[in-house]
Amino acid sequence: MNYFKRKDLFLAIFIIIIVIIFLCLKSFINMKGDYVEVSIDGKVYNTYSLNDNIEEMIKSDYGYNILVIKNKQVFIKDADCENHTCMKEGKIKNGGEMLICLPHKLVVKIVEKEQKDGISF
Amino acid sequence: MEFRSKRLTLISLLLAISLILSYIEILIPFSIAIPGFKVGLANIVIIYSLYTLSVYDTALISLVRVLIVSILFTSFMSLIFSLSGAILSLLVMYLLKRMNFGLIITSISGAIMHNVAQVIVAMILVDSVYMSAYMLPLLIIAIVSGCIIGIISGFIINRFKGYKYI
Repeated sequence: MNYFKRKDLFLAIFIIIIVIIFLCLKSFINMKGDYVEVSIDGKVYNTYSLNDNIEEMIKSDYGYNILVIKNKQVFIKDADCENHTCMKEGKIKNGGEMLICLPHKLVVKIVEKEQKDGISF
Repeated sequence: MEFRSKRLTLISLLLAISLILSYIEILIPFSIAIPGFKVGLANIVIIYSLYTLSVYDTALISLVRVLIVSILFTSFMSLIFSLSGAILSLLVMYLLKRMNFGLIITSISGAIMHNVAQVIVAMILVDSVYMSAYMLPLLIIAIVSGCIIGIISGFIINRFKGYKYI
């Protein structure tokens, strides 16, 4: 069994290029954020200001998540989903960062502008 | 007749080992909170099977493993994720093996494809392109874990080479 072969190099370079592309994209997209956008199932549910201190229960057909915005940081305090990954994701504060709860199809994202109409990407 | 029962026994044995490995993986709590993050211990069995048995046997082991794991330990939701990941990663690993690439790069590509499939499924389910932000951390984790899994499975394949009962 060969661990390495000569032509592995091409594939390795290809993978490294993809990683570099993603790294560039990430630093490129990094933007300012002042609003917290909550969307469920691809539709915008509500938008909050990052400067407020709120604690709100977001209810949907799938279950509930308790969203907390405090000291310009956003996190999910409690949820009735099965894996609680959204709670373990910790606190977010920079633009473009997000919290995702897959069982509830919930996406909490820090955005630059307040979006009134529900455009789903 | 002897050959058929031997093959059946070997497949069942490998399936049992992969189930145990999946269970061990669920038992280990990970503090890194990235959805979909796993080491992929069961992939050792899949790679071993791919390099010693046929691709059909490997597909059988992989699919039955995903089904049983989702019935026993996890939910229906994770069945869709695991199934898409398992199919795409097996396909890519089989193609790379056919094209005579090295073992470690095959394992890494399989791990990457597993994550790519999961991110795509998540993008479809949540209906949001934002999910692709998880691609970068998952990509880096896949490279590291794929490398480790590749080394381990290469070690196992070499050890069992020429073993008269297999």
